[in-house]
Amino acid sequence: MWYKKIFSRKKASEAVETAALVAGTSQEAGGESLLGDILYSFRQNKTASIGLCVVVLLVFLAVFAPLICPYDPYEMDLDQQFLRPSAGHWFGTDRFGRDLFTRVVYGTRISLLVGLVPSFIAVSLGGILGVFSGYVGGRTDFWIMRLADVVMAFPSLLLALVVMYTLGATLFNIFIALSLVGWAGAARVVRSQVLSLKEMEFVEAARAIGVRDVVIMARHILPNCLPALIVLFTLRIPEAIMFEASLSFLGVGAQPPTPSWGLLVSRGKEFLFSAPWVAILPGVAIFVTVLAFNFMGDGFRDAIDPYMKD
Amino acid sequence: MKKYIVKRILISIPVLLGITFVVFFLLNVVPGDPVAILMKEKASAEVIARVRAQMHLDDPWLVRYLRFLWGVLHGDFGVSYKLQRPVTDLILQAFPKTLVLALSAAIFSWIVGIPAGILSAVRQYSLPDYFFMGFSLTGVSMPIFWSALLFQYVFALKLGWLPVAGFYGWKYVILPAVVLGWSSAGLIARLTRSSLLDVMKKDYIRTARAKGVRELPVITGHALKNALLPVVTVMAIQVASLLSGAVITESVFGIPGLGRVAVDAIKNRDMPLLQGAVLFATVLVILGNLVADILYSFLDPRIRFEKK
Amino acid sequence: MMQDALLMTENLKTHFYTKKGIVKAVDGVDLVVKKRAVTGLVGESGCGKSVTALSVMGLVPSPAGRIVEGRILLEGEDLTRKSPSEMAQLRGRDIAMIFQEPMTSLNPVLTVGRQVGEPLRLHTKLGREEIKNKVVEMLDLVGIPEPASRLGSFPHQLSGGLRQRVMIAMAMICEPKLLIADEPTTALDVTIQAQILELMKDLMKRLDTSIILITHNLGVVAEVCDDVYVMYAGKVVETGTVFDIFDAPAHPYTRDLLRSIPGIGVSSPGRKLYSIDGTVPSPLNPPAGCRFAPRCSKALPYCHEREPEMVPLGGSHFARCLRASEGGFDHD
Repeated sequence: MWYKKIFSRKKASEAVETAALVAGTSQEAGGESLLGDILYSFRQNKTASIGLCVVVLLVFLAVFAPLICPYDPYEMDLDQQFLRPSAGHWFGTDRFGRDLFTRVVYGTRISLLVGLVPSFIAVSLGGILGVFSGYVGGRTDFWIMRLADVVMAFPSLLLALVVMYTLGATLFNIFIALSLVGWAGAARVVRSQVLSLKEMEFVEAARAIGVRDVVIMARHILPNCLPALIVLFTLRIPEAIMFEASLSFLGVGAQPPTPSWGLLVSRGKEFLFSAPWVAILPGVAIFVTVLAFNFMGDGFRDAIDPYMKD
Repeated sequence: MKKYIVKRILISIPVLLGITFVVFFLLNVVPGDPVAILMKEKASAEVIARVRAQMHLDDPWLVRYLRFLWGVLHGDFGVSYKLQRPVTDLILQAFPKTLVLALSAAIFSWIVGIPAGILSAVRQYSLPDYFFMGFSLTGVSMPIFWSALLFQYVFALKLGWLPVAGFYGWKYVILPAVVLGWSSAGLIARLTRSSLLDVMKKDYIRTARAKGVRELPVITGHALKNALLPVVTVMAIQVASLLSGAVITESVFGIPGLGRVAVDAIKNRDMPLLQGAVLFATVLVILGNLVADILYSFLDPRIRFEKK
Repeated sequence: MMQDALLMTENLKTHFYTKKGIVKAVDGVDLVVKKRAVTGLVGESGCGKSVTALSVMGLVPSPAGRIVEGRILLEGEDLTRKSPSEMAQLRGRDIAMIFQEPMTSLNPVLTVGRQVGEPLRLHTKLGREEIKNKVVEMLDLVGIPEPASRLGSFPHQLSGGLRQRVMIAMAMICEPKLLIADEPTTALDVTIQAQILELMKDLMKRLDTSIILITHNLGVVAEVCDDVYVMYAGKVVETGTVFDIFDAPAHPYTRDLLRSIPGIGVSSPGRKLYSIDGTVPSPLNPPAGCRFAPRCSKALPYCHEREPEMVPLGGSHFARCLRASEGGFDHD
């Protein structure tokens, strides 16, 4: 059963392990279960744990934003323009007198949503197409892969620009753009996995019993692609966050007064010399968030890596 | 090797066709009536109909696509709505600046990335290793527009060593090139490091040592050539990310290159210009990949010389 | 130091320091390699034979691995006392080594000519033309057809057998005193194996080189070796001339090894294939007493307590077994 794979034991023989140790490979082969491996990897890898903690903190900030922030993110107060960071305003204020800290914290919601949702859609979409394409083969496979090639040929930002032009510049459309840009890579990776899985005996056995193709794809093949899909997902999250920030910065993403971090930076750009904190601090938020997701993703990937070699 | 080159070129052709179709489809078929959008004042139905006929907007889209493709093959990308000049001219005017920027950024990333990667691999787990790898990770995590502003603030506004914006001489290239090449440098450093570490574990390195080769020549004479091969493929991917990054970099540093053209085109709803710019850039990426592939097949003797 | 001995190791111990503990890969090995002879080093995977060879070459992967005790004497000089750069000078010139996998042991991006000529460049003062000529000569000597045209070839363009010949040419080009061959034929076809072994014997005579042949294949040992050392779990358990070992094996492990070769000894059709019970002990945790005792059919309770010394059995024949001199163990 496929779930056994995730929770089952994996043990290498002692002689093999020793040989590996002597040869100098540091990989600790075979833990007890996927979950166990992930936890172990995080315990080992300090940076990954820090990343995880930061991500948890960000989620907390996003969820409890109204309770944490003393100000309203949209309320303007022209008497309080461009205040330096101080006790009353931790990040200072922007050109409309809005508290920057509040706006940055509310921006966390946007970034997290943008990081998680389109990445999930892209990887799922790509995964399903990849499994379908790889399993069915033939002309369907050929054309789906050509489409993926074409999508991947574009520099991703430019393709996103085109999509945003067509759909209009809103935050919601960024979700669509990101999903469209991201599915192709996942599809390619999954398809090549499927090609090798297809030839394995358990698939032949299932077919011999008379299991329908759709069921084979869903029950047998897709779960085996799960490690690769998880890796792709963890890679996409920080990319998506950067992407949205860049698009909003250029003005083709979220529109004011939405407190998207990229937008905040671009609005602060004009006052870089006189009030640098307006542009720089939201950028710090982006940097920290992306870094945290990258570290966390590393931890996941280190744990999943041995499973991918199966 | 010749067979390989021919095969690669043949595969590129359908992709090139595909991108023209995708761009055309997204910009011409999906959105609504461009004329109505363009006309600021309410124009009479008559005028709108006339303009539409002039622009052949009532023909079936397949015909419009073929006409468009025909134009592209002849170097005609249409006329900019806003500036009323041939798109081709505008692109050719803007492109050299982007080229200079991208090339400088690429060279920067190689000069910094490869030695950093080698040093990290050779002195694994030491201070320089952690420093470089930490550096490269942060480089990949910093949004380009932010690091651009940061650099602008520190080096141009506060310290005044370099100009803030514009494109009037070699000094204007330094800051944007460093910003643009930063994350690439990080990527290359990481790749070089892991590639070299992999190679050093190989059997033929053991053989070299068994012959009496000293540690330094083992690295330079035996390991590096093998280790740098995968890095060459990364240089192919660089073209795409450099062009993407150039869009942002040009925006921050006020460089009138292809990226700026694209962004302005969006703001002005100037569809032909956007279309031309995106198409041009993508074709460049595909060509760049092709060239890098061919270069790689030339460098790797296993591909260059077929088995006898 | 015996007159006709080229290389001697005295109580050689090479340990690896790993996260899980100390791996005692080589734990007290005494070897004598005679001049103009082929000395075989036999044993299962993991018994320490390769690490012994690497220790002699000074190629033990550090920092994890280290020679912790013992001496390695090459014509009287102690190699363990030499600096890394002195060892680098010796390697390729006085001692050479060839490895098991000809597929991966040659650098794929360098030409054959460059790789075979490298030892000459490093250790002699010959000019480019002279080196080129020597390389062609050597390639011819190892039996590569049309040697001159192969100088510009890359390893992937050659077959496995040819690659191993190239390895041999590369190792022998400076006419070293000692050649260590680590499983040189294991990765090759049976027909090619015989050719390569013949080649090595031939070169040995011509170039006056001694050979250490490491293998787990007793058939090869019988063909080619003059002296044999049988290793188990990091120690030498039996040594002697090839006749001693094959005609009068004294250590139970040696006997079991010989018995498990299909066809050797008294064979009757329908006889089951013999294999030794149990597995090799973990090098992290060797058993107390004789290391083979847990698997030994002749073990006495005593054997599990005390580690035996080498028992002399006449001439150069020794066995590390308390019951070695009993002899007369039943052959089936």
